[in-house]
Amino acid sequence: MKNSENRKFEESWRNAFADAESDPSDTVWTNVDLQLSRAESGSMKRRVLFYQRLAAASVVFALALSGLGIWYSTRNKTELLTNSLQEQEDATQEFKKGRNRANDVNTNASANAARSSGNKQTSGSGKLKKTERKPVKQKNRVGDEASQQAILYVESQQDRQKMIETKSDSVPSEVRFAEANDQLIKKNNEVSLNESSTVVSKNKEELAMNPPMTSLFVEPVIAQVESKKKTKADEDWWASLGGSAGSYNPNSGAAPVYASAYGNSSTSSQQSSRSKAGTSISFGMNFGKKIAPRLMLMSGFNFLSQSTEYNSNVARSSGSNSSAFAADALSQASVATTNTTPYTVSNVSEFVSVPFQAGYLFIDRKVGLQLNAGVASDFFLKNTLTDQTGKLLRYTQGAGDNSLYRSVNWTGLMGTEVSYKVAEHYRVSVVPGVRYSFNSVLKSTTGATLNPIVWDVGFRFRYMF
Amino acid sequence: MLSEKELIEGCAKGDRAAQKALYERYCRKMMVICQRYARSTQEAEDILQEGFIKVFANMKSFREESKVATWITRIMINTALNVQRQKLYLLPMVDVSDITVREDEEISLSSFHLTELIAIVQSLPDGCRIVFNLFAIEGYSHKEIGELVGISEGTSKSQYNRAKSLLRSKLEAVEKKYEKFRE
Repeated sequence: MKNSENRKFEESWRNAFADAESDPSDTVWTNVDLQLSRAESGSMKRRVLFYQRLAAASVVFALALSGLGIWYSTRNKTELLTNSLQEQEDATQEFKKGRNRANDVNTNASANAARSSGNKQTSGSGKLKKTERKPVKQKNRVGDEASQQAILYVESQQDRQKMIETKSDSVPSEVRFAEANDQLIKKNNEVSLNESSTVVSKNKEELAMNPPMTSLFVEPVIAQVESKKKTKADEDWWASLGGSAGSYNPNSGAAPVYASAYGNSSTSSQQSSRSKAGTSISFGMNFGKKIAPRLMLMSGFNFLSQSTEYNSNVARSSGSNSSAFAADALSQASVATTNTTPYTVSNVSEFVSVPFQAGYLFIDRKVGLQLNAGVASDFFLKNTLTDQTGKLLRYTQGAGDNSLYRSVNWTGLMGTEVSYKVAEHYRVSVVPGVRYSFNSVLKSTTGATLNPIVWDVGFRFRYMF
Repeated sequence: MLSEKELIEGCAKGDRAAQKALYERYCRKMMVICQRYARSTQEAEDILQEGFIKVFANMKSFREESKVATWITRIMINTALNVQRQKLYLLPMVDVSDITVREDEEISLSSFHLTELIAIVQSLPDGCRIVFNLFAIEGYSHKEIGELVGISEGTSKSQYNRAKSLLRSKLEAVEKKYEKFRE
């Protein structure tokens, strides 16, 4: 009985609230809407921040890589030069030692010959002729020791000659000269072996004065010639298709500019907040020409779209219709405004960008690394303001005298390009970079400034003619 | 008019029109729930706002195993409990022993207006109000309430008895006012 009574109590309350409804105030949805917008822009900001950091990290990575490349190549050159000089010095000392020994032996032989000729001078001229040949014989014997040195040298030269021959079939003129030099030395040595000891020692003296070229000294010549051949053979002219995406910062002096603009508006409750970051997307065609082994000039045509969002409770009123309204336009006294419920405005500016850039090739192999810098002329196409809730009309303004935007803007460009040669004529590349507008994209008459900064990462597919 | 499935799909994609349509469809019903748990209409609106933001943020995780109204109701109750838990942390519920429960009396709520009933419920102490809502209207057992709110089963029972007693006396007071007015 008690339980049933209890159930009745609860049931009566449950029934009383079963289909009950009560109207919340309008501010609840307005606040929900604003919080959802903030959450969306927060996630957008996080995405933008990711791209921004990726672009910055790529630039740092590319610069570090190029620095490492320069250091490595400088170190190699120094090592090669040191080794080459060391070898030349060793060779010189070796021959000097040989020559000294030969001279010593020659001096002894001459002294002996003089002694024997002195002893037999009294015995007659016929004998003298006989004794005159002795020193020659002696010299030949002495020459045997020196000639062994020369033979050793010739053998080592032959080995080097073989090494050079196996290196490349198409040996360039510099290498042929080196070979000819070696062969000449070799021939001289051979001649010296067959001729008298005086000739041998003379040739050795010459060799000591002009040490032979070593294979190590020849190798960089080959590498240099090959790399010259490669850069001249392809990638002289190229054209590419590509696109990029990244973060867009309007970089407006927003607070003072818009605050003063609000001051002109009809009520103090009118306000717009410009989002600090948006997105930038561009795509188009580029081409370039290599004007020096490591220097490149580039240009092209790109479509550029820069978008950002902000919340506003101001609308442009024209007759019975209202349209989304840029805070930028608040400075225009002729524009009639009206207050609305808060809404999110999507602000998109579109340009055609013509870049002029110079690129320096740090690495020009299968994987390439290039540092680019230059300027771009950005031709303003249009600016579109869209109310994301769809209540207000879309508002678009193009270029011209009545526009708030300048028709041509100058932008500085800087970035790196990491590329990979996928085929004989094709190269794909990732291009992280930054672009900064030198002038305000808004006309000076608006009293506002916008100097956008874009951090983006691009992708290019390049065809090399 | 969008179907419930279309609304859910739209909300999951973040379509603002769908979100607003879903809000307009359920906000009045949810407002009453929030009012029952809150101390005032302002507090109820805060709970409603926070609840709907959670609904839209978690719409992708809605599996359609239950009706969307039931799912939203559960979110609203959890949001309300979170708000009330903060208060209960400062003023914890205790066992109430000096309550005389009149089991034999029947009550009739049909003569009361909804706003009056809400006002009576809102006038209950925080602990009593939560236990009353969860037990009498939502249909939870005292054991479940104990787990939900973090109190013992006995505390839940005593708080409920106290709520019943207070509600009866408040209803009687209102009825007496009516009678005086009729006289």
